[in-house]
Amino acid sequence: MPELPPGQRKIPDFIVYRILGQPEIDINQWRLEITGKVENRLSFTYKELLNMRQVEYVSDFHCVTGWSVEKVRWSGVSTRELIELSKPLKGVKWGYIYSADGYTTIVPYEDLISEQSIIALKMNDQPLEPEHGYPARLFIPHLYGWKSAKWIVKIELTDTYKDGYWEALGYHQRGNVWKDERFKKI
Amino acid sequence: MNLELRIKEVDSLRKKGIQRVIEVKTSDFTLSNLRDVKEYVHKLSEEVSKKLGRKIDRIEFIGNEDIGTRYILYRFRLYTGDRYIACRIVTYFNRHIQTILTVGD
Repeated sequence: MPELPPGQRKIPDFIVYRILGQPEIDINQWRLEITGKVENRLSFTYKELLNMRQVEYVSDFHCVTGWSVEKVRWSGVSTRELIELSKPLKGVKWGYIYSADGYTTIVPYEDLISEQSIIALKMNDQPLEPEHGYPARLFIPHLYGWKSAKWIVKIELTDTYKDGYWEALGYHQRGNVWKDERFKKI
Repeated sequence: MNLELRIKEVDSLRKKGIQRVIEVKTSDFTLSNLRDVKEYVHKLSEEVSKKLGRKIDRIEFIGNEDIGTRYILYRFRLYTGDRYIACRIVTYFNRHIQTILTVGD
């Protein structure tokens, strides 16, 4: 596999985007919910996530605008393991992701439960900075960064596609970095 | 060039005050430079005006940026009085691939 996906360039640090502002998070009130087409609706506190098995790996981060940050150490809970606890119903095709700031995005189910998809709680061995999504963000290394929603609060499993924030502005339904899937065909 | 405008209601942009987007369905064509893009936006504005029943008073070029190394995003505003419709045009190696307009409250 080449070093960088097509159309990307390396930069030394993250560019921070907060298109809907910086949300204020009360960690005692914060929950991550899994809802939609599931047998069991679930809700996790930050402490509960920290007490679950942690997945850790080093991976690059790719922004759709064209920059990439190399070799970031990520750790968190496997998204697949969390979702399996909810017992998804047959026919689930998408995960619709909600963030505390009102941001939304949509991810194909197969990518959402892919091996390296995590609910990230740490970056480079430290709890996430507020600007990077504290207390938790989705991270899926093979999709562009807009799918890895910061300040995540809910994953809704669904059989029906609907646009999230950037998808409504023309960005791709999946956003695979190796396939240069930046914009969707209208 | 045949332009088909489709209006979609969207929930995900409401926090930005946007309730509808207009997707423009068209065949592929070349937009080699900003002059070409401006000509296209002028034609597009006539279709938008017909679709929404609003007179477009003026067109403003906001800017353009690279998205990766193959795509360019051009942004315009189509003014109707003191309000505007935002217009985003994407090219891939100078071929038009997408136009989306956003309509506020």
